[in-house]
Parts: sequence; C-alpha cells; structure tokens
Amino acid sequence: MRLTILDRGHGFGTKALFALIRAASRQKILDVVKLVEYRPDFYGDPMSKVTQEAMRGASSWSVGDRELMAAFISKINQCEFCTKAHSAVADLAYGNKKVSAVVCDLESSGIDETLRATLLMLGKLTREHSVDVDDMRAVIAAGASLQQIEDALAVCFSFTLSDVWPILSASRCLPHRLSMPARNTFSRAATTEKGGCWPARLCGSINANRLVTRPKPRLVPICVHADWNSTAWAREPTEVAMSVFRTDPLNDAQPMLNECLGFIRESTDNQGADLRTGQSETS
Amino acid sequence: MANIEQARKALLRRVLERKGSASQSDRKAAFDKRGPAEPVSQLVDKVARSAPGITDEEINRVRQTGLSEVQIFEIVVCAAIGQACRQYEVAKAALEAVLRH
Repeated sequence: MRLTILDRGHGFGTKALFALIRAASRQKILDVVKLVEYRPDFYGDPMSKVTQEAMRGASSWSVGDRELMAAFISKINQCEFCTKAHSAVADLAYGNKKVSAVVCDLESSGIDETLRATLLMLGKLTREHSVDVDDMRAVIAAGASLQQIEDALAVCFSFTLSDVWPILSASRCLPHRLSMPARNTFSRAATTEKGGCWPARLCGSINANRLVTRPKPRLVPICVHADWNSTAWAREPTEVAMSVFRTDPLNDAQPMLNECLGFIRESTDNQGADLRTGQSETS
Repeated sequence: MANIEQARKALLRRVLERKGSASQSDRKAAFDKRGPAEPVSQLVDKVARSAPGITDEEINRVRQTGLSEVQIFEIVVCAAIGQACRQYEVAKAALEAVLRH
C-alpha cells in the first residue's frame, strides 16, 4: 500500500483476523480489505452502511441490475477488482454472461431499454461528473421511474467512492490473474448476522476455513466484510469468486445462495458438515 | 425503496464533524476540493478529477509536507467522498428540475 498505516496500522482484532485469513489462504490480504478495515469507525463502517442500502436495500432494480451498475461504473473508474467482482456476482444473479457483454459494449448488449438508458446516464455522470435535465429525460422516456433513478444514483454514489480505494494502493487489480466464470462464482453469507465486532468476523473466518481446508478444491477467503455479511472466496490460482450479498430478507438473493451451495456440492468431495453449516447460517 | 440518505449523512458527519487526525478545516477543505494547500490541494483535485492517475510521487510530495499518513488517509477519503457527493447532488438536482417542469 502507498500508506504504510494501511499495511500495519490496524487494531489487534483486525490483525488477528488478517493473520487467520493469511494462514488459511496463503494469500496476501487484499488492499481493498486493508482499507475498509483500517479505522473502520472513520470510513469502512459508515461507508458499508451506505453500500449495503444501495446494493441490497429494497428497490425495483434486482440485485443483478445493481451489481451490473456497480460493475459498469467501476469499469469507467478503471477499478479492475470491482469491475470483475461485481460482474461475476451480477452474472450469477442473472444466470448468464449478460454482464460481461454489457460492461464491454453497452450499445450492442441487447439489455432492457430502461436499464440501458439508466446505465448510459450513470456512465456520463461517472465520466463527466455531471448530467443534465436532458439526460434525465432520456432515462424517464425509457421507462425508468423516479425511484429507480434515485436508486441507481445511490449505487453510483457508492461506487464512485468505493472505486477510489486504488488511490491508496499500489495497483488496481487483484494479485492473481482473474477469471470469473459464473459457475465458479459463488456467494455465501458470513456468520455475522449481528455484524461488526471482530470476534464475529473471526468466527466467520473459522467457518470459512472448514471449506478452505477441504482438499479439493482449495477455496480461499479473499475478503471478510462484517457489515455486508459477506465473504469473498477464491479457488486459486485462477478462479476467483466474490460475494457481496445478504441472504435475508431479499427473495432474489436466495437463488444466488442456492447456486452457491450447489457449486460447493459439486466441487467438494466430502462436504456434508460444511454444507449443513452453510445452510443453517444462511437460512 | 433504497434510501441512502440517512447512511450518507452519517458518513458525512463522521468524516467531517467528528474527531480525526487531520484538522476539521483540512478535512472540509478536501471535501470541498479547495485545498488545504499545495501540494495537498493538487492531490485532492486529482482524487476528484482523475483518481486512477495518481502516482506514488504525488503521495510522497504530500508526505513531505509533514502530514502524517493518518492525516493523508483522512484527507484522501474526504476528497473522494466530496466528489461522490457533488456528482450525486448534481444528478439529483437534474432529476428534480425535470420533475418541476
């Protein structure tokens, strides 16, 4: 990290959590995690509440739509980590490769016109830092409601901010080569329903390790984020998975969870206890 | 419907009004993209305009002004939040203008 405090300035609990993740994963802690967990009372915790509301609060946009918006905004902001992570989650939510196509070429992606118009407006806002009434009229003409536009702006606010973390990092990408096919992307809520405190996060990591220590495949947590109740995972070296969702009370998150558990079932030789744990933690 | 206003205001209160390592005036100046002073203001401006282009040298120049890393961290965070807020508010204003007419 460009600031050494983001490497070494964390509290005891967070350092313990990082040590556990490093030991289990044999991977460095991601810079974005270091940033969010550094003095979380100042930035990480209040920012997570904004993001949680924008991405998982009630909205007529689906979780997949909002993840797509996040990926699209992150692409413009040149944040490779956020682009790939949120593309992967959106792909999973949609159940196809829609997101990659949209992020690469919005005009020819064949998505719903309302969503496309909204993304165009968000793209302009992100690139030019401004939009005008004509931009808004175009989105409304495409069928977006006032509330949908406000919800989309909430996502944009969150990711305009989230994408800034590379400023303090030496790089803008994951430490490994990335490949995020939907089938290899799965989500699993952490065990931190009460959220926030480091013992809860540690418990989440310990549970995570039950999966990590399975011989095939080796699954590694790359992020534990208490307020989001999320854990990100990777199956090294090239298959990376990212999770950012809360299983309750949103109905549209449940299919994602089922897909994840299905993936674990298919991929793990002797997984009974882990799957039971996963199901009970997220039911 | 998703409503980030409460959480957004709490974030602003925390970074701008409550205790920090950087002074409140420096944090507010970074948030408003008006300083505090060179070369910090240059960094703040770049956070707002073209964050991916920031270099190690620019961070190092700010470090050489005597600001601690904690203070730099807070100033960068405030600058980023300020930019996100300006964009958000410009877009909301455009939307409200459409609704008024």
